[in-house]
Amino acid sequence: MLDLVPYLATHQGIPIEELAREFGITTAQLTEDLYTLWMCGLPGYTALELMDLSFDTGYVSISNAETLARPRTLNRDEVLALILGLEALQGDADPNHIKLGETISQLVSKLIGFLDTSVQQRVQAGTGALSNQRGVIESAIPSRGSVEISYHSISRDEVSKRVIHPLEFSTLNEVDYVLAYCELTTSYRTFRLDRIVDAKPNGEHGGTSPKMNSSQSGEKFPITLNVGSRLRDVVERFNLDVASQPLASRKNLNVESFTTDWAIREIMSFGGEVSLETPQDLRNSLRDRALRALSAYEGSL
Amino acid sequence: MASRKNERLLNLTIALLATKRYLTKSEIFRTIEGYEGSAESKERMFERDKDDLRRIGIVIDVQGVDPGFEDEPGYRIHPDTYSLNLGELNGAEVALLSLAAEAWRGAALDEPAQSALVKLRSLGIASDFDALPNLSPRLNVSSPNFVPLTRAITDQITVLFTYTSAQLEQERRTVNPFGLGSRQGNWYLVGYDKARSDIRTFRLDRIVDQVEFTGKKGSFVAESSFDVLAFLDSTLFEKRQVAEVSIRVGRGHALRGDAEIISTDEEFDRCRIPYSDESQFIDSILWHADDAIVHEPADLRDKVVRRLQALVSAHE
Repeated sequence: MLDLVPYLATHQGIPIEELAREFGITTAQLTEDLYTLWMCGLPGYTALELMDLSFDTGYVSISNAETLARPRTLNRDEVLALILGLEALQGDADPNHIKLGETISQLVSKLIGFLDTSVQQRVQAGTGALSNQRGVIESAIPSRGSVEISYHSISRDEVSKRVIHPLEFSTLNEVDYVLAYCELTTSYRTFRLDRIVDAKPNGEHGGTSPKMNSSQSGEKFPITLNVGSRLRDVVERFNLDVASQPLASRKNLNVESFTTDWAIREIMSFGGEVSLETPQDLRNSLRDRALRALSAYEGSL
Repeated sequence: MASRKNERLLNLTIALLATKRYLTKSEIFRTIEGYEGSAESKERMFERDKDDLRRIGIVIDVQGVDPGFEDEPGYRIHPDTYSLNLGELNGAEVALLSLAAEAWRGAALDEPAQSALVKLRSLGIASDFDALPNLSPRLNVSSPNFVPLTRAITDQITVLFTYTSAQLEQERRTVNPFGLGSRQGNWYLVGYDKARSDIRTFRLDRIVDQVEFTGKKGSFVAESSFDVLAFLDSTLFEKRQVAEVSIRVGRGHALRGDAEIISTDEEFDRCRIPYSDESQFIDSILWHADDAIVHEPADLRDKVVRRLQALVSAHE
């Protein structure tokens, strides 16, 4: 309620519904709070000392509230939220905005003054703290939909907009990737999720949609794995619900994939600690792929 | 009833903020509306009200009014400690702070970020969003343990939690938390693992259920200048080694991030790739199958070959 007064002082005549939304409460609750405020003021409590509120017209104004008119100082969690938010913006901002980077640093140093000095370096948002937009991308996979993304390419140091058709997720070197068909480069390629700074579903379907072979038809197919070690990695990569996999049967896991190529690569990355049991033809292709890689090593000796 | 109490708290705040001198308890009871009943019940009300105000972060300053009468202390709230002072802010800075707060929507610090936003907007400075790139960033940490862990870190409280091991076992870990930080899309807790007598790093999304506090405030002494990002970089992400790898032309985007191309032919680009964790690097080489062939270091090359042989024999 204390925070209502300064907000009103700078937003005179705000519609009551908008004010309720801003504070995340119902209009009924807000009206009750406004009545309470109306009864308050400086000792004496005559019309001269009480705050004056008007809100019977559906629009709220306040006067005679100078004592409470400045917003309260920020508490620890509020300061932390702002600092981490700024650091995350800093880490993932378009590198061409040098001025932006400077402004962020100045604001962070101002805010750090509100915290216990030791906290500053103990809790930090580094690069890739912004949402990887996984949800938006994930929801496009089953429908073979497309997503418009803003992608921050580190090697070229630029942010570009492009339309992609996402197929699968993966994790390599502690980094999450999505495999997708990219309309900009008309090829299949991987995108780092932490470099996708924005994503929204693309309205048009099938406009320039990529040619899909039968293994990319949008239907998931089942795979059985035999897992020797690194169970956690398998569960995380294939996005399995741990609880649904009874402990006794964890040696043999059932997973699903949209694309054969992707599934083979995922399993190959475990280097023999995980084997693909069925389907048999996928098992054979995996072995052939490994043999092909081996022969490349022999050739280059 | 609740609103009577709120009224009294508001009136108390206003009076203590407006006064230029310290108000004694008897002055407060006489002039501020809402203190009723016996002397004893007024006293109790006042004690509870002070606690309530302090709990929401208001600093009540207490001082003996007259050195000769120390049993009659005075109270006031200094406007400087009460109100927000961020110095001069322009529209672009307010917009940037708003963006930083908005980034928490649906994430771990959503609530304090929104209340900070209300306070910022109350400053009455118009946001200049034109000065910013057109982005709607979202922070990617939604763990309910985020806020408790930041508190445990600042107050140096030992924590106990369940962690998913590499073999998917649920382990109980007792940790003195040093820091919390993010790199490459994941958040990590760094702390001293008591059972293992060593500093360990835990990925936040692998902590199961709620973190429990097992000690009191100050239950351990942390290094005074612990820098969590510097620690993560030096242990997990510092790229100390460099490999020479042939990557098929047009393939291997995940490997090309930091790669430097040293020569190229029709089929392959020969690249120098810095890497940090060897076993994770081997995973990504294997993931690329015959699209990525390691030349150097020889030791790395041998390991990849052995893994490929293991793959073949596991799929005979």
